Amino acid sequence: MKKNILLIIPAFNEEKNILKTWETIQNFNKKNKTMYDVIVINDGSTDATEEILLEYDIPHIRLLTNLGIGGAVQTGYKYAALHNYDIAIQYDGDGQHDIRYIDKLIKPIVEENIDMVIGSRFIDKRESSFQSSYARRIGIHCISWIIKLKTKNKIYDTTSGFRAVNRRLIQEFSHIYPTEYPEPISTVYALNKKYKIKEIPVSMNERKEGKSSIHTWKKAYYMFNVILTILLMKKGDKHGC
Amino acid sequence: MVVNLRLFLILLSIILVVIILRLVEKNKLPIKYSLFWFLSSLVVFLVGVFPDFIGIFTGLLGFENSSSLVVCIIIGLLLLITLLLTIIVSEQKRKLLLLIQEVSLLKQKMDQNKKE
Repeated sequence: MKKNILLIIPAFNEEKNILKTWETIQNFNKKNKTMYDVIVINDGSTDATEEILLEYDIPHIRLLTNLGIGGAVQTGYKYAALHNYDIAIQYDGDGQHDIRYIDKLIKPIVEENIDMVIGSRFIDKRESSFQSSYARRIGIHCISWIIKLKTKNKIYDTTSGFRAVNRRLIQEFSHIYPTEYPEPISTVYALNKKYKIKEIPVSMNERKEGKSSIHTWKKAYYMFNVILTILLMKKGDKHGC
Repeated sequence: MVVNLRLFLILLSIILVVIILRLVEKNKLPIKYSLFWFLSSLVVFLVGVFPDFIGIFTGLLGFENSSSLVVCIIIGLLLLITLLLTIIVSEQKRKLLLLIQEVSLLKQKMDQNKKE
């Protein structure tokens, strides 16, 4: 059976990248006869992102104010639930993620009844040329260790924003989704609720334009926030969401 | 405790209660939130009326004199009120998030319908 697939692209001040991302997806769809739908969530951008989205008729939702990455992505899940999509994929608007991996990302959901598939840079290191900075890798490993401690599950690329979820998790996330640093926390939430998660190796590029959403001085706060939230989470509750 | 301080505390609590009552009357403060303020006023009032009680705790908790303990009690009440406010703000933040998401989704749907 044909699956309806939606790419959720959160965009905050992405005027330099968003058109390119959109064209890449369109070209890929044409060439491979895939039917990836797109919804860009314009998270209260203050640059020309909205004008570009309108000019090129890119499907998008303009949030009235900036909600942050969690609130933006959740809007995408709500849209996916509203329009009955089978699979929703988080996809970055800044050229970090590679569209050719989407097929691999979807496969476990369709064939193995997996609920969430995470595109990981660290499972097969040969796969990804871009491994991110040393300090950040330590942070990611640290979070990985704490997730293992809490849930007994090993997740390697805990902060990867390249992930696909099935219908059940679309429903779940459209109701409850962490606002601040959603990737590791939503993963733990899903694990606690006994959803099946699988990681597959992908390659990621370095960001082309603009800054990552995690700045230098925020890194310490990020670690503190994520670790404390995960440690306080109990099975089946809504901590951090 | 000095009589002046006692009088001041009693007066303070009475003024506080009057202000809160008027605010509730004018619908500027919901009963729900006024309760905590009434309790705070009551604490201040009791401290003023029964100084002996404070005297016992002053030595027990290691305060030099009872007026510092009174200051400490008031700071404690302020901390609690701040905590309460933080909880209320968080609650509102969550509701605002939901509201913005739903309105934005609706607007998108409207624009979509207009196009078709």
